[in-house]
Order: sequence, then structure tokens, then C-alpha cells
Amino acid sequence: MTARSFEITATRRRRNGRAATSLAPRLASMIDVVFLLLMYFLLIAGFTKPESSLDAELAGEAPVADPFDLPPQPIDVVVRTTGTGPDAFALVVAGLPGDAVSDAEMLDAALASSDAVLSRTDQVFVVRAEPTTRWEHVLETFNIIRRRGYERVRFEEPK
Amino acid sequence: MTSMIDVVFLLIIFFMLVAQLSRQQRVELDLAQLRDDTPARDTRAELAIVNVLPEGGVRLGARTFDDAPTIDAALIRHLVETRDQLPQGTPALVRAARGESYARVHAAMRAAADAGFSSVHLAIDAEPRE
Repeated sequence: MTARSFEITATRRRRNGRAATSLAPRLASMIDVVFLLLMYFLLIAGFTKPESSLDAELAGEAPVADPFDLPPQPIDVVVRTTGTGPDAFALVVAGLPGDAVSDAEMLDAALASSDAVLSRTDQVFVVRAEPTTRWEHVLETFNIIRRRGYERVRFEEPK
Repeated sequence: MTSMIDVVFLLIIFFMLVAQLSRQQRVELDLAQLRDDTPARDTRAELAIVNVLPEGGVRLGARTFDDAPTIDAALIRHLVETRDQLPQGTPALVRAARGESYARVHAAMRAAADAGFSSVHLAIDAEPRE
């Protein structure tokens, strides 16, 4: 409506014989372009939440550097969900030197104190859990081990 | 002139939308947030993306496969085809919600291993938990 009224004004002025130079913007076209630009930038931005990933080993045994070396005994980490919160899980760890480990913080501390004893490249960790264990609890445990620099962490078939 | 710009922009948007929809392999999932910062890895690169759906089933690309009681063999065949199209050594990306059961995620990882992927990436929320 506004654009049309601008045009009418301009025409009237021309009929009256005055020099009519219409500087009025064409509002409808401008709105068109603005909407198109808006859609363009919305598309570019996207709505997906940023995500990251952890890499895990899938294949079988990695070769041992010296064939006469015995591979180190795997350390078993059993994850048990105790609630729905991200920290609501318990751990049972077998094969790790030192005191018994029962939660995430204790595992982190035990791994920190075992730095000199365990080999980061050869030591195998086996993460075990029941079929119904929450995935975030398994991932958190996996992340604690990987963060300490241990490269060989496997997920055991749930039983 | 304005109409021409309109049409050009519309065409750009049309092609962008088509491209984006055909590339949409990620299902919206409530991914796990881990406590401490983890080495960030870019997951936007081309990967074989396996989505473990909360309502049941596993989605790869635009197709959904059954995962109960066991993983559908067609998923493994489809994963093998996908792997063959990707550069050698490309990992599979397994995406699952934080509350998903370990059994279902492990089955998806197992399917990736059976299809010949040597490593798997596990999707997490990029924001660390407090």
C-alpha cells in the first residue's frame, strides 16, 4: 500500500507539470530482498548443536613390539549405573595397582598415581557393563582412561 | 533488476536447501556431556554416521534398520557399501543419546567392526559438563 501511494504521488506530480523525481524506495521489493537475505543467513548458520567425538579401537589385538614380551595383563573396569544423573555410576576395577577403586574420581586418581608402572601404549583396559548401563556412564569412564593417555581401551560385549 | 536479484537468491536458497537435506545424516540426539574437556575432533567431515535412535532402530543415511533382537544384516551390507565409497581408514561415527543402553550402542559399534571399519568415533556434546 505504501509503495503504491508513493507511485500515485509521483504520477500526480508529473500530470501537474512539475519535475517529479521520485526518491521513494520500493518497499515491497526491499522487504522481498531482506527476507531472502534473512533466509540465506539462517540456512548458512544452521541449527545443529556443536558436537565432538572420542575415538575408540574396534580391531583385535595390536602387535606387541617384541614378540618375546608378554602382553601386560588387561585391567578390567566394570561400570554399573546407580541412577539417571551423569555421575550416578559405580566402578569395580580389577588389575590396577593400589587401593580399590569404586568411582570416577578414584579411578582418575589411581591412574594418575600408576603413571610410572603402566605403559600408555601397551596397557589394555577392558570396559565392561551390563546391557542396561547408561551410555553416558560408559563414555565417562572411557574418557577418564583416555584422558590419562592410555591408548588401548576396548568395550566388552555386554552380558 | 530487483526481480532478477530475487530470482537469483531464490535459486541459491533452493539449491542450498536441497544439498543440506540430502546431506542430513545426523538425527537430533541428546548427546552425552563429559565432565572434563576432551580433545575436540571435527565431526563435520564425511564419515559413515550410525545413529542409534531412541525410539528403536539404527539409522544410516536416510535408511533405518532394525536392531532388535539383533542388528539387521542389511545394515552391515549398507555399511560395507558406505565404507567402500569413503577414503581408506575413514572411521564410522556412532551417535547415541546419553541415556541409551550400552547394549544398543555396543551392537552399533559391533556392526561397524563387522563392516570392516577399523576405528569408530563416539559422538559427544562439544560443551563440557560443569
